[in-house]
Amino acid sequence: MSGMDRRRFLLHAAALGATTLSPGSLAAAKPAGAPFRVVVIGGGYGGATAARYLKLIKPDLDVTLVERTQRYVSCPGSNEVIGGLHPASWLERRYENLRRNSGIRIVCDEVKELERSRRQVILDTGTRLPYDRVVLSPGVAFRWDAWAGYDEAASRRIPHAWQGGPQTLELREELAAMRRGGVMVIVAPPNPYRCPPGPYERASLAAYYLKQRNPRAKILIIDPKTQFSKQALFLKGWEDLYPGMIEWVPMSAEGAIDRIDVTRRTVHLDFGQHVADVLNVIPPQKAGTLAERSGLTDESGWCPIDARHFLSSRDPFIHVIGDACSAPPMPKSAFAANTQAKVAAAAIADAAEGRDAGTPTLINHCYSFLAPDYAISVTGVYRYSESEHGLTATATGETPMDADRRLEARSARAWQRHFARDAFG
Amino acid sequence: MERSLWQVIPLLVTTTLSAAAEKELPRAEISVRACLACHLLTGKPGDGPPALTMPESRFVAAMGAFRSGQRRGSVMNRIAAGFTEEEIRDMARFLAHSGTRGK
Ligand SMILES: Cc1cc2nc3c(=O)[nH]c(=O)nc-3n(C[C@H](O)[C@H](O)[C@H](O)COP(=O)(O)OP(=O)(O)OC[C@H]3O[C@@H](n4cnc5c(N)ncnc54)[C@H](O)[C@@H]3O)c2cc1C
Repeated sequence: MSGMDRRRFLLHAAALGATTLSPGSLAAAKPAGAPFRVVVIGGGYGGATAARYLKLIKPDLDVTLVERTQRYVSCPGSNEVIGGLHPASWLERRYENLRRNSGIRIVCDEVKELERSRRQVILDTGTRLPYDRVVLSPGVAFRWDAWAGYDEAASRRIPHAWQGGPQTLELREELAAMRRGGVMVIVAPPNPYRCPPGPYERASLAAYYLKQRNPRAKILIIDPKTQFSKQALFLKGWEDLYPGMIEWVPMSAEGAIDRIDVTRRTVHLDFGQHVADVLNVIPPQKAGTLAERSGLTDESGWCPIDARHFLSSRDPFIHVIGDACSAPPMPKSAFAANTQAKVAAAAIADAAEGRDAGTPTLINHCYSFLAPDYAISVTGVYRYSESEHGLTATATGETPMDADRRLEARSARAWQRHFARDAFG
Repeated sequence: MERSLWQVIPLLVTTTLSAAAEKELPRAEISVRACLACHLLTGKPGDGPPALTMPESRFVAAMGAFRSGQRRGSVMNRIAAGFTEEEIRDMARFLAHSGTRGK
């Protein structure tokens, strides 16, 4: 970095409320000409996109992507697997293209610790990765203490299927094995959580499956909320496609969740209880464990950020993107993680060059399938607002009631294909 | 030979750096990056709506028609509504300058 660049870079960091920036860390700035090192933590939709775009925008950045698994298993699409539309292998995303085409170093390991004072990422194997910037995209963790009876041990018997992986298939198999005329109970989480329309898409595609194989079966959604994403569109779709099969029980009807008995597959509410043949509990959520352990979360459990660059409010060298960050009014989705990753990547490239980043425009667009040829969507366009010190929506909307759902289903399939390439190369 | 996304994006990026003196374009570039989640730049049939490879004037006309509701496409109406006319013109100009196609 040239002297001028360095000064602007530091000013930039300082302007973001860099309370943890000590004179010592200023002195530790790198000599001119050394590569600017970025460590991306988490190879999900957020992290993969960030790593890829960092290299696209500024090829001379030194980019390392650390991900604990060899192969990422996508959550988007997993409700379709539960509904029997695709095999589970369809959800796998490999890192081969990123590794081959992009010049990113990909390390398969667990990040054990973020040593912020020394700006080093410490891996499980003991390796230390020094950084100029980190992009942290660890996804969500569950609040195992929130609902009595549903802790981590209980989740091994009763699946949440809310992280990519084997639980998706478990839930699918339980659905296939359910007794004739049985009841599937889905317990939806309180806000905020990853994929706001996800529980309702899941109910829809489970109904699609059951309608063919087990048509007298019923699906009950127990909800600690009083409204949900794309509600009118879902209710209309359920009426048209699966009349009488899906019932939504909002908190206003039977009260809050008191406890969950996984042995008897029973959900106890303030004013009622429901026994399930197949039980799916989606617990309350918070930012991924590493974010919390590294002191990057606030009392909400999520990571506060400056939405201009997705820089942590707690650390001027760490960008937090995706589900883990708090960026209202954007929802927590793969689409949002992808668009946030591009903003963070551009800000890092700018910082490395001592330029100032432009104000971001971000897009979210989430499809939900109700049947293979029936989809709906919700959209938002967001911009940084100086007066709000955060994002505001410049447009939001849903599929119009009279729109062609088959056309949306075709767009949704195209999105799935393109999006995988935009994130994973 | 097909032009892969891989070849086009760096092109996009380099050209804008040189156009960075034009004040609105970095912002247009950020917006265009968001579009890439759905629209590929290959211009190949089957690679989705060709919005990002169409000539500049057609892009402005199409986005304008979605924005006003004159053209109905369900998804794009909602997205176009989030951008001002000026931003749409900037995005079109950015795309034209970046060599993804036409003027
Ligand atoms: C059923 C379901 C359906 C969904 N459908 C859609 C949809 O249609 N459209 C949409 O836009 N979104 C959808 N989503 C939401 C989407 O899955 C998330 O918003 C998205 O995955 C967020 O990306 P992320 O990068 O923040 O986190 P993740 O994708 O969870 O990635 C985090 C990665 O970090 C890794 N990691 C975490 N900690 C460490 C560590 N310490 N060391 C190493 N690696 C670590 C994890 O292994 C993981 O691979 C859906 C979600 C669900 C549950």
